Amino acid sequence: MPTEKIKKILTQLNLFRECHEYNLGLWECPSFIFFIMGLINIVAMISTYFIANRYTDEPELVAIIVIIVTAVIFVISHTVTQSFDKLAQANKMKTEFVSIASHQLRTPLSAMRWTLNLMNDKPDNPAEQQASYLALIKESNDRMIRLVNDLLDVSRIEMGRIILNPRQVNLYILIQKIITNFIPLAKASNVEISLEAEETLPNANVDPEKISLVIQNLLDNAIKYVKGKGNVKISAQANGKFIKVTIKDSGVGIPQTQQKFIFQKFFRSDNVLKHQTIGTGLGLFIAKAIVEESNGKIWFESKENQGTTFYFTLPIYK
Amino acid sequence: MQTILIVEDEPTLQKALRIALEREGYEVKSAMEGEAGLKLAKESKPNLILLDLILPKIDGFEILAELKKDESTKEIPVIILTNLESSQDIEKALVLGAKTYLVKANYDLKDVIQKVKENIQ
Repeated sequence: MPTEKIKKILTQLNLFRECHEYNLGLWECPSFIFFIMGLINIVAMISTYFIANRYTDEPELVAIIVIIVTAVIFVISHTVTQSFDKLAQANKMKTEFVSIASHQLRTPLSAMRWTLNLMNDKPDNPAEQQASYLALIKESNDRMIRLVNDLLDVSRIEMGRIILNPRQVNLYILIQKIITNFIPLAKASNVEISLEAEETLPNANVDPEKISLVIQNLLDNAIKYVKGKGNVKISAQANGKFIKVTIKDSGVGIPQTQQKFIFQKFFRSDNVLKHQTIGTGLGLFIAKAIVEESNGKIWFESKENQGTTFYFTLPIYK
Repeated sequence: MQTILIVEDEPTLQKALRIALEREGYEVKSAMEGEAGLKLAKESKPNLILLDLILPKIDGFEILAELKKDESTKEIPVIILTNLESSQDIEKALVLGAKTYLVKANYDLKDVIQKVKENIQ
């Protein structure tokens, strides 16, 4: 069959390997479509030349007709290829996302399964042993819930459906409340948290739940990445039309080579402390989306072994 | 008494494996990342190694390759315990010399113990 033969030659040419990897048919593959469009363009150019030559003697007219027809076909083929490419990209993102997400969920699932095994295989365990097993199960369960919530947030962000309900928010009170919730973790990690903001700090125009999420993610990272004894300093100040919030930690810092990937989905820095592999890698991706959707900006400064400072701005309520 | 080395970076999983194996009468050594795992393998010459693939810093495949290259560790049977599941990964692990490959979430501890008993030397 001619199509089979063509397919074989093309696969051997390695031109469409990526499409093959993602299980896209030949006619769904953007590079193949681009190739076909290119061929059509060339054929159109040549045939237009010969046809135009038949109907007129003026070479300038022939040239103009050929150029116009080629240009039109070029624009059409570009648009067609672009839309195929977008579809293929979306498909690829979806596949990778599902693969990474299921792998991340499997870890707390195995932890729960094996803890349950331990409890069932030896029902006469002392009460405190059973209690510690139950605590582990709860921890795994919490982790899975967090992961699923993060994944839903990420999914909404990717589809541009992040919904914000902005209103007047007292950032000082909001941050104070979050810090209070983090005290147990901070104590356990030997980290001191401090907040510095003036009484005259204007209110912000933000969605309090979503901004709480941002601050929680940043504070969580700041505490987790402090090795040994350390501190996290949070400050907020008015800066023109915006409020600038700073979260500075005395932690391990982010290596220079990894800094450009920090806000990517699922990215975990190489120097993640060994015992802190319990992150989803989604926190900063989500934080950035929320801050930018709130009309603010987020950025950071970091030096390895010296610590990291995250900054973000939020609009003032008028 | 036979010794088993666990190289696994998730504390809960490592602990669960340790308890289950100790209940069966094995001596258990453990490491949370590749370098430490390699070192322990060379020092204590375990009778079997349970190796995770996703580890901080160096990944499990590199560790497996190292183990099989080194004279003092290449005869030790290695079982890959992981939550990755692509046929490419499975094939790669077996080609590199692992005895078998288990997806953690799909097995009970007693199934893991069974595999250990089948492959230990």
